[in-house]
Parts: sequence; structure tokens; C-alpha cells
Amino acid sequence: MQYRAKIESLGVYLPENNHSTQGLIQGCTFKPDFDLEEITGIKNRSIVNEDEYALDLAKKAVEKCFSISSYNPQDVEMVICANICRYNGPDFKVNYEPSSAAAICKHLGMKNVIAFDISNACASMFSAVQVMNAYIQAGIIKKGLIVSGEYISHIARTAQKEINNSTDPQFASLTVGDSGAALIMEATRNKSIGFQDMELFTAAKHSELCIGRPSEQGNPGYVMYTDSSKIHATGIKLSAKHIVWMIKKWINSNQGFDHFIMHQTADKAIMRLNDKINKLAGEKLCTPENTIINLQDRGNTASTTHFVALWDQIKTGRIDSYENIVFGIQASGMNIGAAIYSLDDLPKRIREAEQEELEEAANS
Amino acid sequence: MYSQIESIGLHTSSVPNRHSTIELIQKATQDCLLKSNFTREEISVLVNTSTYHFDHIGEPAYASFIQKYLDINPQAGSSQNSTTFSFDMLNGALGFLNGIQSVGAIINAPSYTSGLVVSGDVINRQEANPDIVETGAAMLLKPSASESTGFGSFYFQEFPEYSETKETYMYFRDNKLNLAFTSSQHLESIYCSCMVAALHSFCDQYNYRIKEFDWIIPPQISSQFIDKTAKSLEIKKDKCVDLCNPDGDLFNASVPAGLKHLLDNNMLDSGDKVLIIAAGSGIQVGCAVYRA
Repeated sequence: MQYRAKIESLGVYLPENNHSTQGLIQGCTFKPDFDLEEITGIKNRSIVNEDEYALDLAKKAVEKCFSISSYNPQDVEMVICANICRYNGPDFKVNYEPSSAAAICKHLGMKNVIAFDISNACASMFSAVQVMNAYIQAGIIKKGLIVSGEYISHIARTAQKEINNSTDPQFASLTVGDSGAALIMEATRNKSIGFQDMELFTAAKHSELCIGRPSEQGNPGYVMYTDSSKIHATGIKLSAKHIVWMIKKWINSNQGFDHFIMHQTADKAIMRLNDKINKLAGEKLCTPENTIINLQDRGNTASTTHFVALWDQIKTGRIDSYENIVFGIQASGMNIGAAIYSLDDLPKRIREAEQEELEEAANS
Repeated sequence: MYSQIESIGLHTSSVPNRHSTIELIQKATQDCLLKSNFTREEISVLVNTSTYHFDHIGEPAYASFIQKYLDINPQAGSSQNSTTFSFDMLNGALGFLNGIQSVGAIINAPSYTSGLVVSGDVINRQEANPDIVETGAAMLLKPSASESTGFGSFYFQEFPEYSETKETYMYFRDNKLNLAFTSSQHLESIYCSCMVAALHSFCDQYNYRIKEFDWIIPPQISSQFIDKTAKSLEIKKDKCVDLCNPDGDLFNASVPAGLKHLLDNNMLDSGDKVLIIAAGSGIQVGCAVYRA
């Protein structure tokens, strides 16, 4: 019988340092004549602390992940690092070699592992999930670690300096936040849990709608140029069709789903997508009750948004053990995808571990 | 788990800095597809393993530009039609071997037909010269007809004690972006000793003897490096494929160039075993076997 992949553990790290949308706008050289907070639903987001970089975010997420896991690093056969930007030091130091995965292996003392980086814009982490899922299904590995240390807020800093009109393509840069997310994937023969279905594809015709590159105006950092209206319109159209197809496949052969976690960019965009999904499906598949919007205090954390949302909503109790989740993947490239996931007791274990940590902190 | 080679294409730039990563890969892929029975629409996954492309684009994946300019299902609008999933896989000179193993795993699923692994490392030589020969490489893979042919026996090992012997990074200083390349003057010797250690573990794991391989494709860093590798492994130099370019390292193109050479020159008989060795920063060593 073929293996399927389940998430054995999840860990998220969010820096304590917070920036508000209003504060970011106040810091812009050019102040827009629209309300970014109202359009996106983003009030705050975590920003790296001083002297904290992408690898630091990744290492902290990995630590948290292993603290919840029943495994230790030596049990893991594969490491995939999936952050978009490898901004790892002062003077905008961005590493090319060695890979971030090799750096994580060194940090954890892992030697006999398959380790590499995957980069695929905001779909990087789910692309890594897709690849690791294939390794697990093919029986090549039993356990693997996926991590993203997503330090992306530097694009907001450059945008504050470079935005010079109300339709500037850098406005989307002001929505991002930093985070680290890590998960351990494990092979299981239990058909009722794990990834039930997953499909991603790239509509490369639209690859130029969002481009992140070093600033050409002499600022030390990346800039992200986004044709926001086109990318949202195209993304919603392609995503709705694909997600409806995936959900209908799942519903026809099995049961329903409890939560829909779309890539987190703006609350209005997610609600527009829901409308499109429901219209195409001819029924109310996605509702405010089953749709997770995790933007208010996180912003768009790029490659990690699904797993930050999963983590936050497990901690609040909204997502519980043995529930089914539909993940919607949408990223520049343009990458479109969906995954159906059936939870095991991970929510219970995460809440217990977090409670234990709180009690330990209170006692010490 | 095996995948096998459908076709390989290569394109080496005779003049540095003339071609972009996309242009090199386009030329190599055109060459690759000309020899293939597969159409562009049948490419289900595209993995770009280039570490270097001098415009330093961080988003989207370079693979999506490559998919677009190669016209591989670029207008996919529905999962019911032919689609391609593209992404970048980065791991220095080991990326191509990682790409081969990953595509093999992905196309194992029934909904996938074939997968394309590409690389086209380009470095702006005005910034620095790490001696990488700008080469476009494309390898189209399909599921193996049987478990006795194609790629298998993959093995990877990390040597973190040597992590600082090779590092490359971009940094911003004096109002401009710069590239820094640092490497130990003993890097080739370190690669050699790591390769020997990894190969012993690989042979133990899969019950191989190094002498049983018909051909060995080592990293195409330099002919001197291949001499040193042959001596360290105590094998005859003429068993090692040596396509080294005096201008520098073939880097990610080492594996496809070596296999293309053996296939194009009818140097493989049915059942022959080719040992592939890749070494790169980390230090990481990867081994795999290709059975003809």
C-alpha cells in the first residue's frame, strides 16, 4: 500500500518587534490617498528584531517544531529550505552558496540527509511540501523537515523610500511581515489522515506580474513590483477554477471540509475569491465561517502564510484535531494550487506543548 | 525508484557574458526536445537548478520565465488541461543531481508524464570570476520502463566541518551590489577527501564496489581534479569522463554533460553502470547510479 504524507509537527516563530500599517504609511516619502489598512485588513505585522536575519528565523522555527515533535534531528532524512530571500547578514548579504538547507543541517548536526533549497515565490513552502510528498509517496524517505525563514520586510523599507505616486507598483510591499515556519512531514499508511490530494501548476504566461529584484535606485534591499489589480484578477480567476475542481473531487469521493486557508494577501481579495468559487460551484462552498483570514496581526508573510495561519488558529482553538482543511496556493510565477489535508491530533499536541511552555515560564 | 533519460541538450557559450541564463537554457532545451518523442505539452514538471543569474531576481522563480519563453504550457488555465509545475531548486553544484532525483520522485505519480531539469549558471565576470563555464543544460526524464534501468541508488552526505571552505554571497556596499566568492586554496583536496569518504558510505549502503562501475562521472572542475579523484579512488583515469574546459568548472552542467557524452558516443552497452559523483559547497557530496 502506498504511503501518504502527514504533518507530524509544526513550529512557528514570530519576532516580537511589531510594525503597524499606519506607522509604515507615515514613514513613506509619498503618502497614498487610500487606506491600505482598510483595503487589506492588515493592522500590524511582525518584523525582525535587530541583528536577526532569515536563517535566525528558520532556526527558531525549527527549534519550536522539534520541541513539539516526537523526533530529533538525527531521525530526519531530508531538509528543504523554502524562504524566498536568503538575506542573512548586514550590508544586505544574500547567500548563494552554501544553500540555506546546508546551513540548517550544520546547525542541527545532520550529516546523512538530502538537503537543498526551493524557491518559488509565495508558493515556495507548498512547492517543498509537494516535492517532499513525492519523495514520501515514492518510498525514498519516511521523514523530512521543511523550513522557511522568511525575512521579507526589507522590501517595505525600500518601498517607503521609493513609492512616489498612488498607483506605484510597490504598494504591495507594505503588506508583508516576517516569520519562520517549520514542519516535519512523515510517511503514514493511515488513509484517513495527511495530504489527501495536492496539485500545483504554473501559468507562466503571467510570470511578469510580480517581480522581486534588487533596487535600481541605490537602496540596499530588494524591491517588489506588483501589478496588483492584474495579479489579483488573474489569480482569482485561475484559483477559483482549480479550487472548485479540487474540492468537488474531494467531496464527491469523501466528505466535506472544515476550513479553507487561502494564501493570505488581503481580506477583500480572499472574500472576492470566495464569491468566485461559490459562483462557479453553484453552491456556498467557502463562507466567512469556514474561511481563515489571518491578516490582521501578521500581514502577508509570503511563503509561510498557510502555516502561520494554521499555527495561529490551532492555538486559538478554531482549528481542531481530525478536521479537514482546503489550502489554496497562489503566488507570482504565476503558481496556482490546492491541497486537501486531514489533520491527526496535531492541534491537541501543539496546544499541550504551548501550555506546558507557558507553565514552565511561569514557574521559572 | 527509477527515472530514465529521454534526451539531453547542452549549449556552451563561447564568449562569457554574451547569453543570459534563460538564453542558455532555451538553446539547450531546444536541442533536448529535438531528440525527444515528447512534446512540450507533455512536460509536467520543470526544475531550474541554476544558482547564478546575474540580474539577481528573487521572485518569481526563474523556472517560470523559462517555462514561458520555452512555451511549455504557459497559458495553463485549468488543471484539467495539460499543465506544468515549475520551480527553482538551489544547491550550488549539486542542484542538478537533486533535480534529477526530485523529478524522478514526482513523475512516479500517475498524473505526471515527464520532467525537465535545466541549469544555466551565469556570473557577471566584471564582478568576480569564479571560473564557471557558462553552459545551458537540459535533461528530459521519463519514468523507467523497468527497475533495472535508469537513475537509482542516490546518496547524499554533508560535511559541515568544511562549511566555510566555499561561500558566495551578494552584498551592498558603496551604493552598489557586489558579489563575493570565497574559497579555500585547498578546496579541491577537501572535495576529494569528502568524495572518498562519501563513496565508501555509499558503497556500504548499496553493496557496491567502486571497481564494478563501467564509467564514472566526477565533478567537471578541472582535468587535474579528475586525475586527483581517480588516484584517491584507486581507479583507472580512463574510466572517468573528463570533459573539462580549460576556462573553468562545468558546475551544474557536469552531470548532464557527462551522460550526454557517453550516450552520444555510444559508449554505453545495455546493463552498464555509470557512477555519478557531485560535490559542492556545504560541503555536500552526492552520488547516484545510472544503469543503461
